[in-house]
Amino acid sequence: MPRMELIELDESKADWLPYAPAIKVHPGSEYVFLSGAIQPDDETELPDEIREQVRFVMGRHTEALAAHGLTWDDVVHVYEFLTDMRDTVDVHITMAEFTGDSGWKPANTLIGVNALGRPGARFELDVIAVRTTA
Amino acid sequence: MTPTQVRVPETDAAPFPAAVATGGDETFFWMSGATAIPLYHHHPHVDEECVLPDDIREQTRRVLATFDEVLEFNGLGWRDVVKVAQFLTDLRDHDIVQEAVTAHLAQHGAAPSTVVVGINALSAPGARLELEVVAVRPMEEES
Repeated sequence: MPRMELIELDESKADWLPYAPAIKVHPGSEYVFLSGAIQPDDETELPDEIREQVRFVMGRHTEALAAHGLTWDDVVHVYEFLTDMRDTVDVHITMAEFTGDSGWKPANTLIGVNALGRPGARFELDVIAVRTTA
Repeated sequence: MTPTQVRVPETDAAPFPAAVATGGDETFFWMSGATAIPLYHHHPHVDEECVLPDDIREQTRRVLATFDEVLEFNGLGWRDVVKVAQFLTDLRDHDIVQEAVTAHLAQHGAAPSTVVVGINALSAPGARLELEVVAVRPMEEES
């Protein structure tokens, strides 16, 4: 039995959504909760360009997942936090550079916020992943 | 095993419990957040799918109906929900939203743990409310 399943209520419209309406995770799974990945180093200049910011965050998360033996195909749920909703399309296009073409898509909640953990930060991603216990 | 509600005396008057505990052997259902627009809509968004009534009661009704559908599709009900997140663009809507959510969930005997957050914007320009839900099903009920 796969440890998790992508739930589509309407397969004919599945390609409308870049995220899953729901993800089902079976018992015996271990959760990995990742911290946010805004560049925390105040010495480094934060690029204003949204795609550069998304690439940094996604790169950090890719490394954190790999450190646990995981990939984006193991991600159950993400929160996307944006300071400017006009960035939404650019964010999704850039995230897709990292998430691969396996067809897996996590559940996703997208929220517009006032500010993020560092001045100038436009994008933050909260990630929950799952791995099967031995 | 039904998720166990945990209440602490100071918050007993709250419309939701202070915590909800799961048993450890459940199947989890992580659902994407939903506003009042149809669950299936195109990306990037197209304007005609994102037209919403301004009335918060109507938006709340539609969001709850969306989760009714997602839960039912998975053979679940609101009693299986352990966590609800409410994201509101205007906290002055909160009393109305909470009253509607509490009433709807009470019909199903449900009172999940709840977090309420006031935020800047949602994915559809006129959306005032987004709900997000986590539900569980006990292992013995899995086919």
